[in-house]
Amino acid sequence: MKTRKSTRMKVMVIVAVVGVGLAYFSISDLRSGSASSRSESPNGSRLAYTSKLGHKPRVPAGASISDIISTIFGRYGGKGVISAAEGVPPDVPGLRRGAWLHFIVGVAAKDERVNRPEWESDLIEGAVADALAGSGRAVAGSTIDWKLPDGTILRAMGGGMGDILPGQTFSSATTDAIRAALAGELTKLGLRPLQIGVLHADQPAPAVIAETGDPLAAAAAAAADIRDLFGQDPPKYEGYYFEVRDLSGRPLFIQSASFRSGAGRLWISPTVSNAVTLNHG
Amino acid sequence: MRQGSHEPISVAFRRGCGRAKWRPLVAVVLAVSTIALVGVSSAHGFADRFGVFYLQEPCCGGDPLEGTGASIEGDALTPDKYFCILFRSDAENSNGTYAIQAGLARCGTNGTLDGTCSLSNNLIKFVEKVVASSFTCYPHGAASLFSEYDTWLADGSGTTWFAYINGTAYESSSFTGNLIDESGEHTSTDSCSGWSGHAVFADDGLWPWQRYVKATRTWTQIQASQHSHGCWTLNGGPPSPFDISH
Repeated sequence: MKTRKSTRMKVMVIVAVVGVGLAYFSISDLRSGSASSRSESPNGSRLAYTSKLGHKPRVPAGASISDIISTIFGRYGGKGVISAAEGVPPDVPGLRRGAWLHFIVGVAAKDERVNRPEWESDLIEGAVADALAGSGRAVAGSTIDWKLPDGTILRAMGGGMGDILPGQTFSSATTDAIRAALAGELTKLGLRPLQIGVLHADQPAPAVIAETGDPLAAAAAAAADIRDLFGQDPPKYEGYYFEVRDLSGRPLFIQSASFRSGAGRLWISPTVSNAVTLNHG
Repeated sequence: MRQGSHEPISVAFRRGCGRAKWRPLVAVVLAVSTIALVGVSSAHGFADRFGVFYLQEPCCGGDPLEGTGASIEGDALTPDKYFCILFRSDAENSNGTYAIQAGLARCGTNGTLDGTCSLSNNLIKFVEKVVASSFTCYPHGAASLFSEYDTWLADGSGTTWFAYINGTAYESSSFTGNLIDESGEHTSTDSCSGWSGHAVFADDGLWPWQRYVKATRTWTQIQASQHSHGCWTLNGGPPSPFDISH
């Protein structure tokens, strides 16, 4: 990363050489770098959510990417991802180097119900990225297609990949222990557990659906409750899904995280949007 | 993401946008409009959380708004405990249910952006997408204060917008854009106190604020825009660099 001073000097030189025509450029110019005065370090500023590094992915040594995806898809334990495979990156300049993943997820409709299956694909992507890192490879991005109940496929509705350090170590507690701990914590927080599942793309990632009789209070406590349940700095698990519903079964808010891919998702019902303590841009 | 809808840009802005021969007229109109707009930001649909320079279709001689880009230098991002401060480029559809953003973010010690961006009060580069009213954030590494980042969003093909930071392509989102902006945001809906932020936009000879037209594959320097200050203080404005601070 360059400092402002060095950037300015470079800009002055470039402007002197090429004149004032640089207000106009095409996207294709980015391929040659002629339109950018800065460039991204491929690994230098990647983030870790925990200082505990060194986790070894549970994949066979030397496995191909298709074998890695197949292994992780086969064990992760969710129902939302219909298929996971290596995909073709979009034809745009400037993409990071690395593999591209393609997911098809089943969605009930184009509404908040897309969050659960997309989170499941986030977990798979993160686990694949960690597994590939062992052989010096990376995941550059992904594409998520939505499959509606009538069979319609909506292309490229989601996907992405954060710049995350591989090898983060999270909880390896058993499914029973995680369920018991979360059920107890939910009760303390005044929430009634409806479902507590645990996925295993790599390490455990709980998926919690809870119910409240006081939507506004639950919305106001959302950020604190998530910190209590799943941790924040550092997170307890490699990911989580947290959905709170009212007594009629309508979702009030959904937040999910995948700390190996960096994907964080948030949906907030308009009925509690002024009370909820969760942030989006 | 903005809230509500926006009024159309005035005829004077449409004529002047991106054309050097209209600059004197635009300058006068901008000066006059600044006084008017500062007092009626809520009428444009932006909540107080936003300090924003924006263009909305129809504008710019009928050109579609298919890209936005500028340099962003964050000099201060000091959020309060539970919220976040963002400086970003942003593009949205007509009702804000689809959007894509790229920029800088820092959350307070007990805040996060969508659960994975800035969990430890750290300053990051980020891309956030809005798809069918659901938000997704991807962190793209640590950022530094007093460093410039080139952030831009472009609808490169079909209706697929890609987010770029310093020339690297990150996430994409498919929607028909209607509004572009360069903006600051404090994520609380109701607090103008207890936090501070400052960023300089487009203060780089290579990266003034520009808009993109896909059909001609041209980026055009923006000469004038609308704006809404909310809790923020805005200084300068296109075609000159601008500051967004609180």
